[in-house]
Amino acid sequence: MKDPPMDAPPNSIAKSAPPAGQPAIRVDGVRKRYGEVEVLKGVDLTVGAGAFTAIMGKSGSGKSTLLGIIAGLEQPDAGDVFVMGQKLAGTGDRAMAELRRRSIGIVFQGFSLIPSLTALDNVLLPTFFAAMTSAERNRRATNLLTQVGLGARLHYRPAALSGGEQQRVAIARALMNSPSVLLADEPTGNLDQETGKAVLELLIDLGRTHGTALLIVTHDPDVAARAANVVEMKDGKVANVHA
Amino acid sequence: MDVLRYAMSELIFRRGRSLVTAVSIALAVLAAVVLTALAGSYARALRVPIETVGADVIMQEQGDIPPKLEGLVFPHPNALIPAPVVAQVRTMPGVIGLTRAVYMWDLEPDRYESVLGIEDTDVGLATLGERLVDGKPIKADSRAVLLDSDFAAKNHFKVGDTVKIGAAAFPVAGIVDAARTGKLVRADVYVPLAIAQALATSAPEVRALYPFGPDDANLVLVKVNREQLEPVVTKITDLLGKKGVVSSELSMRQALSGVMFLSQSMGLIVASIIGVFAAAFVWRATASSVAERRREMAVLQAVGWSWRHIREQVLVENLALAVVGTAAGLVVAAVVALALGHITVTVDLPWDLSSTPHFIPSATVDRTQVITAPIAVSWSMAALATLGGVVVSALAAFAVLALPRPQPWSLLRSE
Repeated sequence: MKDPPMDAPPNSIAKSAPPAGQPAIRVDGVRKRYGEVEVLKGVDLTVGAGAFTAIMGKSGSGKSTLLGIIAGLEQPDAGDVFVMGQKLAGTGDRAMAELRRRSIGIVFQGFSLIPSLTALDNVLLPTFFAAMTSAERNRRATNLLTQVGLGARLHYRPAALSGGEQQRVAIARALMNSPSVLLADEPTGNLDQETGKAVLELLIDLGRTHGTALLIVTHDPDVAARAANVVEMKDGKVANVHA
Repeated sequence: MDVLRYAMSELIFRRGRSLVTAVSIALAVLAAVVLTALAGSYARALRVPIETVGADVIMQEQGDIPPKLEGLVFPHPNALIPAPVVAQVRTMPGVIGLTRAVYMWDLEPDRYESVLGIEDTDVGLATLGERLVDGKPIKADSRAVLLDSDFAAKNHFKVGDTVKIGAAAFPVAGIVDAARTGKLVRADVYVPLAIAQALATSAPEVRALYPFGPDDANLVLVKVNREQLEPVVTKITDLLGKKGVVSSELSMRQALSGVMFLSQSMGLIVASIIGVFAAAFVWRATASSVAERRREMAVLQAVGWSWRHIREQVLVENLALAVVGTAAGLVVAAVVALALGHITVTVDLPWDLSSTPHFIPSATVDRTQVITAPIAVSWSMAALATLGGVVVSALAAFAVLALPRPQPWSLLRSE
């Protein structure tokens, strides 16, 4: 797959920065149990602003659960998570939604596009309730889709796009609100090797261009090899951190 | 605007479910509007016979058969209604106006005629004046009479002739076409009330049965505030007692209850049952749509939507369906009402109100009246049905989204 053209990032949305001296993400002693199984057994993790970190580990090691907790889409049983200096525990639904809208972008393994909406509308979703004019939002979404190589497919529904194209739409959507933190859960897991490689390059490039902290959960050593930091998880704990 | 566009995309994307939901709402609205329109038409049709008299209630009292059927007699259903009873009715809450009358048969060896003496009110002599086909109207103090056009033609009477009532003779002032607007409270000869009262007071066969005074009546036409019709009818019925005959739209409805299944309340009950089924369907459709879209909702949460935003989205989708469904239901209802145009009802007129003695062979009359009433869609029912559709759809969205929801990550995670 041909690499997408890389333009300057659209700057319509101001990126939030962590308070001085604070990392983009901080995880302190997080525990999580599903029934009898303790999936996370006191995880500590720090991701610096603008850094690219990969979390690796076998299936069931707790890496996806950790990502969900960092995204505020799963509740830990114990421990604290801070994203851009904001403690997630005790944050209500509206405030959490606001934090995700302003600071967090998420890319899923299964693309998770809304099937009834076009590529453009899917990318616009995070800004439906943002204080931006319709023209501004459309311009930004169009630019992002052009950056990921889908400028000619703005009005295609997901079903009319290939898996790689759908993931590109998902990446554009994750960057739409100019997040400080981009979380990706096996973003290349459903793609063939070549497409997966192209998508990874895109994520890294866009993350770098947008100055976004990138935290990727992956099984793939090739993905981990591109990361500045690799966190190895085993049995619900951080086993190793490689810089 | 984005939310609306999203809602439209979603409804079109799931067009099968959207269509079935909108159709169920439309059917409920259609049923509510058409059934109540039909029921309203029936109710209007039943009012027609009495309304054409100009009153809402006709008061009579059953009496006895005169010892001799000769001279001036009161028909059996027209016994004495004393002046104090009339005065009590006049002061009842809801009574707008009242017209007294004296109705008699003049049974002579060589002729028969029905005579109605009536007050000079909008319902009485004034109305007769409007139906004049020849001559001039009469007033309360006139010493002349009006003749029914059929009676005049049959007996070759014309204006200026003299007509006998009992032993007295009266000049014919005019001829009226009373049949034009109905069959109730009709007579062959119309006279001012005072003349009829005087004739009744001195009639031996009347006096043999009743202590009829110069201010009494035996037929009273009452105009009533329609909203208070039922309580007024009840009070008059109680006042007259067992022998009272109180005719109104309500008694007409009772008389037709065997064949008329579409009463106002029956229409509402049927429409309500359909409405309940439609509401259950809307709830079910919303619930299954939301269940199918759990993952989609988790995605929305992941991209920064709060649960309130999601609820608003589902609400907008349901309201859009409600608007489409109710609009379609109203349009079809209007088309159905227009296509049907009107209903035709054959109303059996009460025997008590028959103007002709049944024992006179030549006087056999058809005691039914065929009435056509337009079918008109009630705007208030249309508004109520629209409101119902919107409220049901909104409640379905709220109720479904109030159910316990899973952690979004459980629907989105890779492993």
